[in-house]
Amino acid sequence: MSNSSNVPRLPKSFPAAPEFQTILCSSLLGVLAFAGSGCGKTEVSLPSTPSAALPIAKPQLAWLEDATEAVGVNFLHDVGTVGTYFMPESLGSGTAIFDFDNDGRMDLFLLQNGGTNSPAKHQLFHQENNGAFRDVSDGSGLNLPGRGMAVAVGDVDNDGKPDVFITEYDRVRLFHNRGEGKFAEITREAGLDNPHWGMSSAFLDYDRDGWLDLIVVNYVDYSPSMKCPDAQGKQGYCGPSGFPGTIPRLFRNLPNQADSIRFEDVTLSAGLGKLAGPGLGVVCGDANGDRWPDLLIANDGHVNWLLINQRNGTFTEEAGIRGIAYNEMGAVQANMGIAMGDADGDNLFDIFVTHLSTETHALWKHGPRGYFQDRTSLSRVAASAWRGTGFGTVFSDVNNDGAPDLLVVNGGIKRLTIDSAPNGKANSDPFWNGYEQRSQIFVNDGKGTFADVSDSNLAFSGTAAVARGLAAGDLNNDGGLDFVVTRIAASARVYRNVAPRGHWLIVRVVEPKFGARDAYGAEVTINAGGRRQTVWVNPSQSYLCSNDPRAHFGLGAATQVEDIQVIWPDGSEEKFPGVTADQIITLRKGSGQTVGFAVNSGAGQ
Amino acid sequence: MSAKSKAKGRSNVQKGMPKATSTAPVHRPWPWWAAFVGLIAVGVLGWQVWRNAAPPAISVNTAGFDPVIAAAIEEARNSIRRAPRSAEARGRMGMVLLAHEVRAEARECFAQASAIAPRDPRWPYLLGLAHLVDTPVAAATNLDRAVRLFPESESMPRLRLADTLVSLGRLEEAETHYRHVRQREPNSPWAGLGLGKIFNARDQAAEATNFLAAATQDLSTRKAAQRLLLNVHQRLGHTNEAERLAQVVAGLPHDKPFPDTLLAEVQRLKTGEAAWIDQADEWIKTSRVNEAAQLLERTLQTYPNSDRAMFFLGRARLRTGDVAGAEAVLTRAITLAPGNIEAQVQLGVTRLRRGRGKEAQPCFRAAIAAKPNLGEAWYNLALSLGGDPGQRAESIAAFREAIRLKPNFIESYLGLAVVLRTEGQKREAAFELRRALSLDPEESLRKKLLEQLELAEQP
Repeated sequence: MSNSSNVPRLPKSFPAAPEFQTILCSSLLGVLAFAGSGCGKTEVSLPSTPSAALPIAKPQLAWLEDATEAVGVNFLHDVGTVGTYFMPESLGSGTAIFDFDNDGRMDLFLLQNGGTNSPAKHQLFHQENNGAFRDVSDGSGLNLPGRGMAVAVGDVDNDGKPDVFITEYDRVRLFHNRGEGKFAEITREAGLDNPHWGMSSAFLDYDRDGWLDLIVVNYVDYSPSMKCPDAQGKQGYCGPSGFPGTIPRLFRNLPNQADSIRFEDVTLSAGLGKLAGPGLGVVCGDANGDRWPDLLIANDGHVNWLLINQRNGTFTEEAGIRGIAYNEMGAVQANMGIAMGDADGDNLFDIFVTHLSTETHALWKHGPRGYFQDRTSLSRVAASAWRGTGFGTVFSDVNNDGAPDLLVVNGGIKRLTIDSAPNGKANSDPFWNGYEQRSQIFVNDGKGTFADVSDSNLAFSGTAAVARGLAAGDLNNDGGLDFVVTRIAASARVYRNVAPRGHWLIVRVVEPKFGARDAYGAEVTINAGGRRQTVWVNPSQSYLCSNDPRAHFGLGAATQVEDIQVIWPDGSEEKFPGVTADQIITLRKGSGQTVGFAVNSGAGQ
Repeated sequence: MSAKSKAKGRSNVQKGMPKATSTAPVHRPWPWWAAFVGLIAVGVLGWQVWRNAAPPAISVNTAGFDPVIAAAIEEARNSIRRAPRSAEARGRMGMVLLAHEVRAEARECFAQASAIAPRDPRWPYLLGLAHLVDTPVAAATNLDRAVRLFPESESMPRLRLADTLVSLGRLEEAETHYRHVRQREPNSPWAGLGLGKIFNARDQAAEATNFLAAATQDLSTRKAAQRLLLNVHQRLGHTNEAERLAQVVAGLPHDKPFPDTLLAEVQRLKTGEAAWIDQADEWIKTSRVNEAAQLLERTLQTYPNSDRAMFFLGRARLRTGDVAGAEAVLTRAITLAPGNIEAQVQLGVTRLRRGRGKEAQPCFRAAIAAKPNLGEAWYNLALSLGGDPGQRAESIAAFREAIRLKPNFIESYLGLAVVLRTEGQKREAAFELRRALSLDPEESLRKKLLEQLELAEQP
């Protein structure tokens, strides 16, 4: 915050004046104490500037610029009529960065939250040859109103075209991509029924049969008639604590259904039926190294769940013994968005979870494999100049130096007036002003230690907003990760990467046997510049969002990638020859040199 | 005066002063008297100026506030008007504001109080607390100042500062403070817990375990310390011990709150409908139902149309066994707010308990109409229908809907099985019971399921 100039600084040492002198000053000259000089003045303290001990990075060149208008993304988020404090409107809506027509350029899908009677509808934007986004919502089949929460993208029928799944307050919807920008809703036919308040969701192939299954994380059993006055007695949005949690739902994609797409609800048989909680975030990845996808679910004000795949269609919850249930202080916090990436360069994915402003975000370092250690303090992610209530978050190597940086978007759930924001506030409706907060960027030093560079990135961090969704992707295929942020009752923003960057490589991994769809669950590792880097392919992370499904690598000064290894979702492993930097490549399963075999393969379902 | 100075004085007179005449000097006492009066007048005037020059009391926009809270704030402001130079009055207003989360204005009050009484440690301490929510760096700075002003023997502010520093990743500074407390109070569970956190964060397992030992024995830190120990053992690869501790932690009640006397004083200033209902709810949860009921009755005197207070009073009366009283107050709540889903379900349950299933049904139906995915209402509706042979088909459908909505609620399977068996559908009943048993129910429920299964499997 830039209010250092108008507040007195705390003196380095306190005046050692005798007591009588203090009394004299504060009584005889008390009249002056408030007038800008006098004895009492030096004692007044309203410091807001960080102390020298904090790792706030020095000003540097800005990394991002706001390109929303320049690229033609015109989306105003709607939550319907405010004032009733309907809780779902306070949690925002997500976005998807995906290439729905396979033209090699990422497109955008943005959700509305105004309810089924709202004139505001979800919007689909197609990226044109010139990099501009054209609204192609009309006739797409996706231009629907609703209480849209999250979006997940996955090719459910292996036809090579990514399909769209959305969660709403009291239902879910699956849209089949029919090609040429047309989608058709197939929720009922597909057997998907989720009568809860669905939040983040993800496609994964948990049984390794080649068909993408679906996990839906549900929030609380909310009752709209419950009143939740704030501390002043004014109506406010409820938190989760007054409501029972709900169970996540796991849907198995039933293969070979003769041209029909069909899912089976396997929640109970998979062992998820006993896990009722206020779920918000989810990521999928192989935590314990057995090459079967596991699940991490972030619960709001409740322990996290790490669901370890038992390779027989069931999961066991092992967050406690694997160190990711509680934070390093042994406390349960309001866990919201999840970022997954290798913060410290050891080729194991680490986990960052966002929390309330009254708490601290948490960074769990992974290692030894399958076990997590909360390294929040040592990584200094909590040592920021200000704290916000974080939702969307991603690990993204913004400057392509080979170390993923961390981005967090913030916005309150309780009214909290902030003094000011350099670029003002996002919401024109004063109703939301009390909830607006500034977003943050942390630069990674390559060893997993972070420094807050938000004040150098005012395009991204200078405006206060009620931000919720954050998705990352290389929108213009220039090797720099760009970002899309969704904000409650305000315009979505597109941030273009303008950072001074190193070299890069983007790898798309596809499975020809399954319609050449993206290989969700693959682990891609490259060797470049004497360093190994790993990226885990699954677009569902952050909060309510689906990200660019391609693996992005920052290479720093390296101009050549020596080799690439891929562990495919079925557990097999292939090695691919090196490539020159600064290009986008596609690796097809089966076209590399097989170097390993599936661990624990064959169990199947 | 020394002789030397006297001589010097004389010399000055001789050199610079007008020469004395032979005429005797005229004695004029009135200027001294006038000066004295003048001094008093200036003093009074100065006091007035000083008193009135204090900044006005912080103004707070209380539009939309609970009137009781607004009145409490206004009363605090009036105290400042009466004594503008009183740090106590300004600090008190800050506390009232902080209690009601009016943080920005609370900070201003504490800063003003601190300016008036710079040696009073309470104001920078509370200023620090008011910063904790969103500006922890400023919080740490103010808490640090408070620590320097509090007597050495006071551990509470130092522990609060240390905890804040830990959250900022400033472990070395935090360690100094925890150790300081430990030096004075070797068995301080909070200092032990804090040092345990720091050494756990540094991966120094043996030291962390050592520091946590005392904290695991204290009711204020037991659960947090056990969780940290779990972390430590998990890091060391002691899987069995970690699993054992995970079970221990799951069975422990919440730790008692940190004993912060100043914060407790702030909390006590909470007033108004929401605060009273929250307090009553807390008492209901901790089995102090009579006190809760009394507080809620008093709340209703101030807020006679509060359907929330009525709902909680109904709940409290049910717990005290006053079922008729509960029904009366819940009926009143629904009359005032027919859309109150919680009150509808609670009233339905109350009537069901009194054996009036038919009268309970409209309540559950109203709740379902307002929230169709409310599994609890479907379950209770099914129960209320199950006793009537003419309504068993509807009961079965309601149980099935309850299961669809909450497949983890095992009682629904049991209820469904009973109705199915009563209807002669034994095979279906057995199927549902087996489904329920596969969900790994608690022992008492498992017993009931097995009993029903035995009945269902009888020819």
